Amino acid sequence: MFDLSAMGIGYGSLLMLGSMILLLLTGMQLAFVTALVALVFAVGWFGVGALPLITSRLYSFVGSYVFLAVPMFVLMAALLDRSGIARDLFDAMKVFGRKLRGGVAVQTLLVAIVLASMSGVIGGETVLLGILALPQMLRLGYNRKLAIGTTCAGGALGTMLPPSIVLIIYGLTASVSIGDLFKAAFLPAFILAFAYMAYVLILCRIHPEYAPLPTAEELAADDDINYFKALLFPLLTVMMVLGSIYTGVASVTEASALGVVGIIISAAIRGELNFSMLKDSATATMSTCGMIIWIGIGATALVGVYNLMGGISFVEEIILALSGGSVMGTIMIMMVILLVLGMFLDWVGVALLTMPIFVPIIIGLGLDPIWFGVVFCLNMQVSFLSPPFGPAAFYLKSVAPKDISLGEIFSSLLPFIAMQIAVLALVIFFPELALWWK
Amino acid sequence: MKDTIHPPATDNSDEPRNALDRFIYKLGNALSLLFVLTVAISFYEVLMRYVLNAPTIWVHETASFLGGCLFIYGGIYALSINKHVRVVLIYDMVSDRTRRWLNVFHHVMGLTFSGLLSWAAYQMVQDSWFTPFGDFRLETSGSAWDPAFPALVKGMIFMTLCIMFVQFSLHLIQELNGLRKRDDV
Repeated sequence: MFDLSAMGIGYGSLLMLGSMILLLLTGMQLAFVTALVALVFAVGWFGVGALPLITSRLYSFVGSYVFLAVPMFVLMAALLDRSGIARDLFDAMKVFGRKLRGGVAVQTLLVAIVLASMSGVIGGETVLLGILALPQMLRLGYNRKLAIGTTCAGGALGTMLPPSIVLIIYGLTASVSIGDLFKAAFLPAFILAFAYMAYVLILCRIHPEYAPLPTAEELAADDDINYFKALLFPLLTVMMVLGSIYTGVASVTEASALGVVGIIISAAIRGELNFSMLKDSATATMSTCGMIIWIGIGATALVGVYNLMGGISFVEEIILALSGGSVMGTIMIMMVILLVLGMFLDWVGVALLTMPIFVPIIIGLGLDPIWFGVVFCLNMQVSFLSPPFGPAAFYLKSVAPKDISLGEIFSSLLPFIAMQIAVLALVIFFPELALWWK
Repeated sequence: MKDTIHPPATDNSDEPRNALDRFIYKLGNALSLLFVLTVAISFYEVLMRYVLNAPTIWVHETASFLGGCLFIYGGIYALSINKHVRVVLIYDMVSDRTRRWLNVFHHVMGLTFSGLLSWAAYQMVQDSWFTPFGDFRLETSGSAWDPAFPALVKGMIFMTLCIMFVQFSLHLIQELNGLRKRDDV
């Protein structure tokens, strides 16, 4: 048999990266590309005796109890999408849209924040806002780019505010407390959300024509809103999930189960719960999780084999050599790698491929892995919005009016991406923003 | 409400392609309700612990077991409806015929991957289902409750990978047949 280990770790890494890029460019499924490359290298480098390593990693990956929080949060979001909770919430938040210039955009962002603290996934929220908020703003004659950007960036906040499955997966790979990650992400997430709001308000102050005020008859139409009913269920659910995590009453997995129960009870009280809603949400969960978890399986297999080849310490040496050992230089290199990978790979893949390499370096430099989790999460915020594959843009496209093209969505997102990078820099230079509670 | 929020799938290639895929898809839809069951037992555990002060010994392990099996199954489920993420930069640009050839390549790679992995999983199952002397004995979790879940999850992994191998074979045959028919015209 051929023996790949003869080429040494340097060329080995190049060959691995090269074959991965090549296979990915043919359009092969990400999960299978990483798993295949891992298998071929395991056999080629160590012989067939190394294959059990991959299966045992696969087994421990799928059997992890913490990981169970992922399908539960996905299920929760799927149920939320199918209930009228978000719609009522949006209507109740109209208070802000009445007299304020740019009010509907602010209203959209506020709804986005509440929805984001109920769900931890990216798709559902963007789709909901795309249906509720975007048509409303377009109808009122808002500047198109402002309306599209606000909706899409607001929707992406779902994975920044706790509970967030990005943070859960980071916590799993970096072996740090997910509860701590949730605490740390809170302030930076709010800074980001408020930056969006400030941007909207300032822009509308400079260009009043960007955001016309609603007419008198439209104002008269929304008098019969039941604020109590609209706000009670979301707030109750948020309290159940985040409250139980922050107080330590329940583990993250149990808290996610509580969240699902909260949404189911809310939907039942609202008279919306039925079997087909439950079933549709469950199948949506199955397909989302099948996809996420198999990307994870492929990535852990690859990282496991690469680690055994001595690759992780090799990359560590390269990064440290490039940065000349400077802390800021190392972080900058990592940020560039994350931003570039985030443009092309799914975030699960990015997390599981890079974090096993980056986190030990971060710890070695004496930095806090919790803080780095927040930094990673902000990086992924950028990747959700950035072309060519920003998933948030694609989700919005799927529900936006036909005349809105992907190109228009991406160009509307540019100011928001700039704000994300600014907040990212802020958290890098002022780690206290994430770690003040320690 | 549901219809307005969830736009129908636009691409026909997301439909299950053959009888096996349809079966996997239907079974998966039924199995997905186990996610709801997992929620229910986790909620039960929290209730028992705080309200009745009587934590269970079986919820954690059962939940992880159900989750593990569903995660594994999700792989063939997503494959049956073509839901696995791809980088479509070039894939979407090329002609229909080239894309079919790319698909043939992906199926062959998929066969290699699932074949190698099923073989490795077979060894894992063997270790977990039989003693070194060849007697049947399921590996258990070693907790106070001590269920045979580890052996069952490993069996599930092996079985799913074998199904995936068959799935890739059928997709390959279908793709090649499709290509041949087009050549005839």
